[in-house]
Amino acid sequence: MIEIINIFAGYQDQEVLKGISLKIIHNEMIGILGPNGSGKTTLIMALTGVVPIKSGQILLDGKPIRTYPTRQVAKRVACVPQKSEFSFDFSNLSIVLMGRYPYLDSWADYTRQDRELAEDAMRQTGIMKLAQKSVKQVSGGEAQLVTIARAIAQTTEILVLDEATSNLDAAKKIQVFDLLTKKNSEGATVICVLHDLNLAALYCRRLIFLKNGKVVIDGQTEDVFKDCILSEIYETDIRVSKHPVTGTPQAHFVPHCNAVGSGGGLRRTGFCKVDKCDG
Amino acid sequence: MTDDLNRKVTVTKPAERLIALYGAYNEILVDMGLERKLIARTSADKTPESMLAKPSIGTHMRPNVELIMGLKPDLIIQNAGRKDALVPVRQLISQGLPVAVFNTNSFADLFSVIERLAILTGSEERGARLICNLKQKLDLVANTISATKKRPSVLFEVRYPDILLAGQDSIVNEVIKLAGGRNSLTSKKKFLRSNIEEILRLNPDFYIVQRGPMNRDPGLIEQRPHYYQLDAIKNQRFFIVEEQVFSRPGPRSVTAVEDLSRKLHPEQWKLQKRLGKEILDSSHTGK
Amino acid sequence: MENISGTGLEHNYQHEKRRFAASTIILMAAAVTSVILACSIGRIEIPFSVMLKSLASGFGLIHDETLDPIHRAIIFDIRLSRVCLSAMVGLALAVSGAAFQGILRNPLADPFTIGVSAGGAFGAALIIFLGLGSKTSLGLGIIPLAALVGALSALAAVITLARVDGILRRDTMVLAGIVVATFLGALVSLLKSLDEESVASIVFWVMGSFQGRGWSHAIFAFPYLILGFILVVTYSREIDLMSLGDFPARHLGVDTNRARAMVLIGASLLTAAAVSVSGVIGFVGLVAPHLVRMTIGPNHSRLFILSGLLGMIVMIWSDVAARIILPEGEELPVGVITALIGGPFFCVLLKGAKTGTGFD
Repeated sequence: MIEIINIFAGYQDQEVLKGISLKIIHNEMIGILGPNGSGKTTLIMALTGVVPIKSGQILLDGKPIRTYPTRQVAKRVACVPQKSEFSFDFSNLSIVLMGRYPYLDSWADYTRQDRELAEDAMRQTGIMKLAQKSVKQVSGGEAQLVTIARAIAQTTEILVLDEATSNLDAAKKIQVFDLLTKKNSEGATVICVLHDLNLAALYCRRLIFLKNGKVVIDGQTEDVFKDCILSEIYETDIRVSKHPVTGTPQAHFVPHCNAVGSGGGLRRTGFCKVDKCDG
Repeated sequence: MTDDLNRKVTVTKPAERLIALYGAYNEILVDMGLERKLIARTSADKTPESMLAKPSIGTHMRPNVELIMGLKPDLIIQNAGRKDALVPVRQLISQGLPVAVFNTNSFADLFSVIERLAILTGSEERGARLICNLKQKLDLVANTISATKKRPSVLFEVRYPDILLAGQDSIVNEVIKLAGGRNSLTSKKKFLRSNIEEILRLNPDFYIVQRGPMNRDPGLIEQRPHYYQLDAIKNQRFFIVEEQVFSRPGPRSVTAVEDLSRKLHPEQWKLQKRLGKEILDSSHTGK
Repeated sequence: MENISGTGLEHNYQHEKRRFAASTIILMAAAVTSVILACSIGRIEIPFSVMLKSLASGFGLIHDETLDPIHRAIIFDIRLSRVCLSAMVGLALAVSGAAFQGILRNPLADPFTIGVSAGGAFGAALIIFLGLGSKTSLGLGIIPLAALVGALSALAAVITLARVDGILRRDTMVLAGIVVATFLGALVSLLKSLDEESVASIVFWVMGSFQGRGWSHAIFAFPYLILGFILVVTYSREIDLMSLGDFPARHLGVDTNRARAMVLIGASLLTAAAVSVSGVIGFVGLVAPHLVRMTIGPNHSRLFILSGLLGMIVMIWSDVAARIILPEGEELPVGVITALIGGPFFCVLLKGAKTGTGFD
């Protein structure tokens, strides 16, 4: 369980998080959303303990996260960053194996069990055929899958993903989120930062919206995924309808200018000012 | 008058205000009795002591051109031993100052430099007297050692521990030869970077170490690693000498020859001392 | 188990492991052979059998009364000590080069990047300038001690400069290194211009040489070398992980600040040990790690061991060349040899490599 109590955090003199409190309990599947620069990534970095907070507290199972040794945190929380750097020609398998580092005795090499877990993680993310390839020779999307496999190999109770699927095609996105749902059903807590509102609505049970470093709305998906709320947060016209198959709410952005023709209309909503386009 | 860069150096009248940028040339002029004509010295020139009273104009390789011009010399003398030393020469020449550059690597060079300096300063007689004097001393050494055929091998250490030895193209080589020895090192170079194994291989009869700016602190030779294996060390035939005397081609190079030959051939000198007067006389008449 | 053997990954893993073991054994054998062969080369001709006997008697394995004590001294005290010292320095430079490249994630980093060598050079230059070059302490010249102190002080200065909010950043690290190296370089130039007669000694020292070094130097450098080696090897896996970036490495459980500091200190100790006894010898720390990385990949624990061995071999033969390449026993600075071989070799390596340098 993670408890965030009124934290302030940021870089140098610039404050990014301005008083955030959250409680994340076991086995949740949470989407963190919000416009660019709202503090999503900083929140993720703070709650995984890599960015220091200026005030407030982040408790992991009741103890401040900074008091845990780094390895202990890594045994509980895995994180897939927005972007990975690969400075060396490691094979993808080696990268995934790094997920086993927190369990490694100093001086010891990865065990056969570690290698099996790494391989299993790669199979689950569908990148087995890339195992021996250099991480520098695969595409950006494939590298993201490698990083996700690494997080899975880390076998943690909490999985944190920061826009981990942004470079993936639609089919792969679904594949990854299906996998995350499966992990969630097996007991993992999943926290993901997303830009894709619909993907969040499809998979996450709870949504947290950030704006300007503060939580603006936090609640069950069906309660918060509403026309008026989304439109206000993103300051653009958004409509919500039901997904034809699953029945979950899905958002539709209303363009300021309609390219298709005159039929689809542009109507003023109650929430934001939209100037009428001519033609 | 032509200097050793093959440049014509002309003075309309005997030079009166001289600056030598090289210690040995100061010594030549002092020995010729022309110390009063020297108007400055380099910061390293400290002999004879009376030189210290004269203003210093920088160093041999980097003299201060402004200071030199301010003293209005009518002749500047430089040694061409190092290429770097010619950089200030070009500067001085471009300022229209008369510069004579000499190169002394042997006693023949030395005598030729003395002759030419004598001409430039209009004191040919003093020059001839100095040359005669030096040659006499060398003759005495030659006579003394002529009684023996022994020519012990000598290794001359220029620097330690970054070992540098004197090769054949150096004034030291000639000093060794005239003193009745032969240079162990056959290299045609002036200096040779070498190592302890090579010194052990050469195993010279005498090991001479210079002390001076190039070799500031040679330490205790017999305590250096591996030196105990050298015959020269075992037989107590190693000496520390002054770099200023041995490695600077000048009047004191003659002193170096005398000094070294006494070390190489002590028994001949003992003999000579006994017959000293006689031999001296004969050398005089031989002239 | 089933799933692993089915994919061939396990097979592949075992294959890689065997390949590494084989490379290690081959390089070790080559290193030992190099030591023995290098002992047989020199200005004084000594028969190979006498050479072997001298080595054996030097190690107290045999007692041979017929052995000429001079031969024994030349082989054991002069040549072997020099060969061993060059092997140690080669290992130190190659390993610290690999460590600096890994931790700074910069292919051009070498043991001298963060100014450790400049500190060593200044320490040595100061002693030469003061004319204390042949003063002894601990049975060897005072120069190594001064160089070591200089090198470690430079490291301390760089770390102090590069710490921002208690965090060592790799970019500020490189910058601080350049600042410190430039400043110390200026001080060395100052010493050189203050005393024209010392210039040659300072220049030759800085160029690097094993001439006149012996067992006492090897013993002097040994503890720093061992400590440095253990430090970087202990943190080799952390270097692997930190190549992903600081945050990802911390997410995987690496205490990045600690690991970076330890690796920097370890690598600097290695460099300082090398610089203090041999001067500044370039290119070995660049060529050996790159060559190994291209052959067996970027895994740092393997990289350290293999490039250390390769560095040994390269340095032993470079010093042999420095001893014998010129006629009449004239010595060349070994740094000149490594640069002459290393420069062109490095160019060919970069041009010919299909996989690149292993860096971005």
